Amino acid sequence: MTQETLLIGLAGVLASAAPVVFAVIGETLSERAGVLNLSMNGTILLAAMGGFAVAYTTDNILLGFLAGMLIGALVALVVAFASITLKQSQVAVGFVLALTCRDLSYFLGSPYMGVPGPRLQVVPIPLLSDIPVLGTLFFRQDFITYLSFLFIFLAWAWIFRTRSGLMLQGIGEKPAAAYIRGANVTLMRYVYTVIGGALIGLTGPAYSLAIRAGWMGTISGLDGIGWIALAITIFGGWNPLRGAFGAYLFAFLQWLGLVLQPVLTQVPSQVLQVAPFPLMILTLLLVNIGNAEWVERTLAAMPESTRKFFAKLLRAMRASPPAALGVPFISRSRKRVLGGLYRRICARGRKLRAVFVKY
Amino acid sequence: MTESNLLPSGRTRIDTLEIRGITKRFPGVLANDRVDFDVKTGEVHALLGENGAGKSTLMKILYGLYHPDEGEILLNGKPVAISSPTDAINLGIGMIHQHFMLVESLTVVENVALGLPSSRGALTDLDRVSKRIVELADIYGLKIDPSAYIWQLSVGQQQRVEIIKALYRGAALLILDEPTAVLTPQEVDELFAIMRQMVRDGHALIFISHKLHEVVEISNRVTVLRDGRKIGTRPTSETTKQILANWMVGREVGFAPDRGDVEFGEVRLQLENVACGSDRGTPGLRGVSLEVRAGEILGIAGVSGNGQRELAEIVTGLRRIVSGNVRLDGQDVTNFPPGELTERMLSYIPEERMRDGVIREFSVAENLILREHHKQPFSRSAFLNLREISAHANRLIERFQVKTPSQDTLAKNLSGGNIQKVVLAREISRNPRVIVAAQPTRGLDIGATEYVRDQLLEQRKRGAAILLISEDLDEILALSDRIAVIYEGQIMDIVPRADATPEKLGLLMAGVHPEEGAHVVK
Repeated sequence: MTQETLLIGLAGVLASAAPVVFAVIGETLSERAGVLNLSMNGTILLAAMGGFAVAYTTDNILLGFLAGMLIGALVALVVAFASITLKQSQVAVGFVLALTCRDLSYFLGSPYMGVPGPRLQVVPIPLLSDIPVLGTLFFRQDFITYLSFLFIFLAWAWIFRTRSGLMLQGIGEKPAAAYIRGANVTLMRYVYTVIGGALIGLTGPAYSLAIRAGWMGTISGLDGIGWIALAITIFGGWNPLRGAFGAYLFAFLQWLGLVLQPVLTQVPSQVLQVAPFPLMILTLLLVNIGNAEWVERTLAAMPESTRKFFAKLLRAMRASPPAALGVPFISRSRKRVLGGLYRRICARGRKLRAVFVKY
Repeated sequence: MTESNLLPSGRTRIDTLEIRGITKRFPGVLANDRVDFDVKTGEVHALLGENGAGKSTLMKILYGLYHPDEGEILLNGKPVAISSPTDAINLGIGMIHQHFMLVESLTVVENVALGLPSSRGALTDLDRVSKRIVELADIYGLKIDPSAYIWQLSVGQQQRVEIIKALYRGAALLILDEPTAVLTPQEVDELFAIMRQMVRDGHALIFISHKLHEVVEISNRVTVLRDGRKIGTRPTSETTKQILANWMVGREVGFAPDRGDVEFGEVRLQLENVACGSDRGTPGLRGVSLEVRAGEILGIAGVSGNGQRELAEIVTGLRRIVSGNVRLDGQDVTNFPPGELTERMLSYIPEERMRDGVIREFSVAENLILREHHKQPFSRSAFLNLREISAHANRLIERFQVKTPSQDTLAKNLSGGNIQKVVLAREISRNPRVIVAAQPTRGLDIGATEYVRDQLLEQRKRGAAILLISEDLDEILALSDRIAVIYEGQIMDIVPRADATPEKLGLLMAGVHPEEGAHVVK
């Protein structure tokens, strides 16, 4: 393999990871605020179909991307309403939406199956694209890939370098503490879930209008991307930089499968296509291995200095989810009202009993 | 504004704050009934009362978390409206909550800056906040590292962060909601020193507590609330603990429970060099050895999070032991499952009574048979004997004075004290050989606390071996025959009750051997 093909291959890895990057960042924002958006897999498919359909009908790529984001935002709004306002299980709501949106995309998308549509073009950046190696890797991409680079750093800076980001961390970790400091927890959760949803929605057209242009229904190969993005969010420790790294690793593994296929002829091609998925799961397990009891026991038996080193390493790798993830927030005054109701009912019960005993 | 009106932090003083005729109703409950209260600059005014007396409600009204139905608040003689914590903060009122309002995964400086405007607009200005924290810490003598993460700090240090946070926001009046509940005696002394310093500097402090000796020690005046009503306000120097206790409860209360003399029997519970992990991945216990005899209460004293939870869990089979062994009645039961230990008559009064003690969605009667439901007479083959279960429930409700509308009431609808009575009834009525009691009176009021302690002493008289794990030093001293102090997963020392003083135990709890005066465990 020449250096040039290798570079182009790697540039392709960066491009094909872009959609996953959006999904991971979107999910990270949503989960940082404490809302688990499990609908991701379906949302991506529906946004891919919808984005393609709009771009095809209007012959306007930008409208296609906006449509994808709108679909993502709307689905996220349903998740937010069900989990924040109705206080329903985020897992149940997300799961049902994931299935519904997927099937909806196959159903509504059938008129657009296999029709040739618009596709985002590669736009080399003048000057920068002429830099050896880096130019090929980073600056001969399409618009959406550039956007993915930008969003990784924007999201990271937002969460870790701004006031609002600090509050976002507070809302996901300990909403009561954020509330006491003047944050409108409910509103902020809505906002971040919807923005996160819009980013997840962007993933769809990033496939159907760029990386894998067109809509192919069930054989689009997009089913499952949402789940892996969910895993990468966790692997990334709710940090956009680590999450992006996970997305690139996943894309790299997929590319490796393609490259190795002609070499490893005795391995069925399906194995190489599917391998990235279990490999990602395996990575995830490794990262969080410190939680396992046998590891704990093995560590306890080691000499003090070795134990400390490994404990530190495991702690650094392990990421704990936002403490309030999936927990509805009820401000204290509301809780008191409910408690009062209970007491009132109990008191009534006592009174009835007293009357009953008397006669 | 004159110079003398300023606090060291640069804020204006609050000369007087007056609460007049505050009434707050929740559906079915009158939480505050025409309560008057006032606090002046340079004093600690203690607010004393049992759980549910209305202390917290009153303070939450003052802090803008609740809105009163009637009454008014006057600041320096002028009426003010406080409709949110933000209003309260702007007026110079700060609050240290009982459950700290800190985000554990963030640093000290991030927690202080959280929610405040930044001098750099949208970006954070943590370096500047950090500088100001160091300044404030110097002025008030609070040692704190701004870049430390909250999860790395001890409870006492976390409390200091809360105080700094309030001072940073310009608090002139500070409400401290049960601030000593989680501290060691030494940490309490440090807190009191800080409080005295603040009072000298012109701050006004409201100290909420139900610990009488602390109120007597630190406050200038004391107000007692009972059932939402104010019972009275007096200068602390003109009251005694006995008067205050009677005010709080509304009847005469005894302080020292009657222990009686009991002959110790054979060793029932024995731990040899037990080590185990904790939920945080760090070692939970590191070579703990102890034994409890029949008729003996062994008290485990220590600051929260030093391995008490793990100790209770390994004895009751809820956590795996990495090395060492546990003997029950002389037989090795290391890593036996909880069910097996139940068969061997081990009973457990868990720390988290709502989570581990009862099943919230089960009725009182069902909760009372959790340990024995699979046996005669409560079940025969696959079927439950509902009549016997009901009769059993009635007997226990009667005997243990559980206040419940009926035996079919769900456990989650009972008060904390009555839930604990249900747990006690279930665990004690089977005449266990060994009892593990973890924080058995935490969060209970004086009446319920008295009852639980009497029951434990009753069991001791019957000849049960009792392992009492408590963070309440008064409780340990009142009940135990011997006291073991746990620190960072190790037993620092085991002292007979006669030799134990709060000072000595306090040092051990902080990891210091009194004789050597040095850290033994690092």
